[in-house]
Amino acid sequence: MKALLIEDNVKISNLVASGIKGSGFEVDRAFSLSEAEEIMALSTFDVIVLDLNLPDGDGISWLKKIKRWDSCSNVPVIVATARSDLNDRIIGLDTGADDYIVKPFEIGELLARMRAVLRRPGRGLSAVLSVGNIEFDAAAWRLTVCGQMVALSRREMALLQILLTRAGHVVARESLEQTLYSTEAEFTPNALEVLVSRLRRRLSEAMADVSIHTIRGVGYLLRLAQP
Amino acid sequence: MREFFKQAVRPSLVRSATISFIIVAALTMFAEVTLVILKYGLSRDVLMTTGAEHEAEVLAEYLQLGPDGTLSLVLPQDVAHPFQRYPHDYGYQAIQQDGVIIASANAELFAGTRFNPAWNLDSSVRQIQRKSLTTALVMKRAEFGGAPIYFRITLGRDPADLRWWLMHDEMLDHVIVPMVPLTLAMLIANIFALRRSLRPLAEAARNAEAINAKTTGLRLETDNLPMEIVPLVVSINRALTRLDQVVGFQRDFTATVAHELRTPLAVLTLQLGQHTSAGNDSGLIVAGEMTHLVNQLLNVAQLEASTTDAFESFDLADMARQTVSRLAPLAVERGREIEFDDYGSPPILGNRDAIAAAVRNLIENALRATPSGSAVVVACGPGARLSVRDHGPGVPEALKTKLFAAFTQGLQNAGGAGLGLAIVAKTMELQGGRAWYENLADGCVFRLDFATPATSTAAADCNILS
Repeated sequence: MKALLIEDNVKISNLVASGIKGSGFEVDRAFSLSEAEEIMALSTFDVIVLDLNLPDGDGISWLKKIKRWDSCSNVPVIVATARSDLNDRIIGLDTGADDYIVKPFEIGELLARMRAVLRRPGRGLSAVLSVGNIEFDAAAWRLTVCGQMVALSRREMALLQILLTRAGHVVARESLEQTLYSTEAEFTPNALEVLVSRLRRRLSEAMADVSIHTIRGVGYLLRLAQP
Repeated sequence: MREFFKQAVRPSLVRSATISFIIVAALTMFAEVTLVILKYGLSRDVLMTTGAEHEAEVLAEYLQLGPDGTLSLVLPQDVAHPFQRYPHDYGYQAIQQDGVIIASANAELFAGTRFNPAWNLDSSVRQIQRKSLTTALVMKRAEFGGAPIYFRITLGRDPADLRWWLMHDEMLDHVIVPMVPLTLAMLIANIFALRRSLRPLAEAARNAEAINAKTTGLRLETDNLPMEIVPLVVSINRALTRLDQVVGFQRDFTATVAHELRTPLAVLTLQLGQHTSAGNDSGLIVAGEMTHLVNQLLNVAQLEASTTDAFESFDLADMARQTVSRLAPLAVERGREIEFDDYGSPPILGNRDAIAAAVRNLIENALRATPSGSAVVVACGPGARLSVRDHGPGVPEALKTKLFAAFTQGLQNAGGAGLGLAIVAKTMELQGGRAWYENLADGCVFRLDFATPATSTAAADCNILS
């Protein structure tokens, strides 16, 4: 996995780059937008971490520009900014950024977000999703817990894939229903709850160390079970 | 500014103009009365003569033509009374052109005086010295049925005060009757004109009331204003431009400070992260608290500098659900549950991001207060309201009055600076709504009541801007 870090503050750049390297990523660094363009002409990247206030321009307009390039349209971008007035709506709708993180942040949080955007379908890490002791091969639709295969129905697999892709975040109930039951004209109101509780039982029977939390009125959250 | 006007009670312009006008009218009337008194009162002779002339005119009004074609004078009792009561002082004669006397009273008073209708006089005035008394002898010609009738009047000591009645009538005819209605009409016209000229000023004042640091770009209209007031309004508008520049500077300053403070904090956090191992993260915790404090201080500064320009209409439930969704991992990590209920609410007009931050503050507080294993319930509606309920110990009685003030902590050792609820209160104040709380038997519920677009003063400000 190769990341491009665009950050003009040398101290922050050094610290972030060493943190990312320590987690198995290769890192190229740029200190301005023009430098970033030069580097991108020579190499391709799996993920870009972009600061917004750069000496030669505003990161948001630059992001809009590179998202139109064929080589970059599918590269996930994480905006790292000190501007707290930005919010996910602006980032998501207007710029094509995949996620954002407000400074100051811990390196662990940035890495988690990088992995999360890479796990999305069609991205670098999408083939195998893993949290705790479970691994889900999205290409082969196969779940293993501690290396042992666990049998799941197709719909349970689909649910698990979505929850794993967004592990640590809440997945809205509506979006799950739309994805899982889109082909059915009608489904019972508690169909999703029944499906979730079945998946919970299967994971618990297989001694998986992840848990699925119900956030009533919002959706579901999969995360590593607390010891 | 409103306070300033309350303190200094000033007389109304209409009132002072009315008072000036009444004074001028009273002085004019007084001058007229003085003139009448001077004219009649200073000379007894003039007064007597005029009195006699007046009496002749009064008598002429009572001439009647009888059925047989003869003229007669029929006086009502009040007119005839002085002639009967004071036979030595008042007398009259009504004489036809042919010299026939058709009516008379106390004719002996005319003894020794001469009069001939053939002289064809319109009027004549004579003073006769009778014993020690000067008597006025006045002749006045009147017309009746095309023929002249000559009235002769004599006035002596005037015991019935006829001359003063004359003065009374003169005042009524020449001062009171024309002046009072004229004065009243001009007064009303004056008040009306003043009110009408001041109406655009009241409109300008209403617009000015809507101006505060939250509404930039608003200027007072100069159209329709009286010429004399335009320079004042133009000066106020120039002052508003300068005010906008100050507010703009403050906003830019806040954004710059946000960036400048976050960058060194980012370096600090990343550096501490490199040297932190599990179980030894006290440095990171302190850095986190510092970040939280800086964020809250900036939040306060941004709120102070924010304007209604940033207002938008948004779905309260949608915003609340997103905020709950974002905080759910934190709740789960701390062993608490978080739930969301949507009872339906109308669209809210306000600064969405600021309100989301306020809701986040309330949820974070609730997660700190509620015991492990219990749930924080965020409910939206019914109506334009939102609540955050916890199962904690509730707000201590001692903090009841100052809970929403800055630097007050609801929970001891909560680790914050006590700015969270101040931010919530300020945000709601800006929106036009309010924040409050209730202690329950098993916990506490914080409520946000939002102003809806129809009732919001903030919304009214927006309308004025457009």
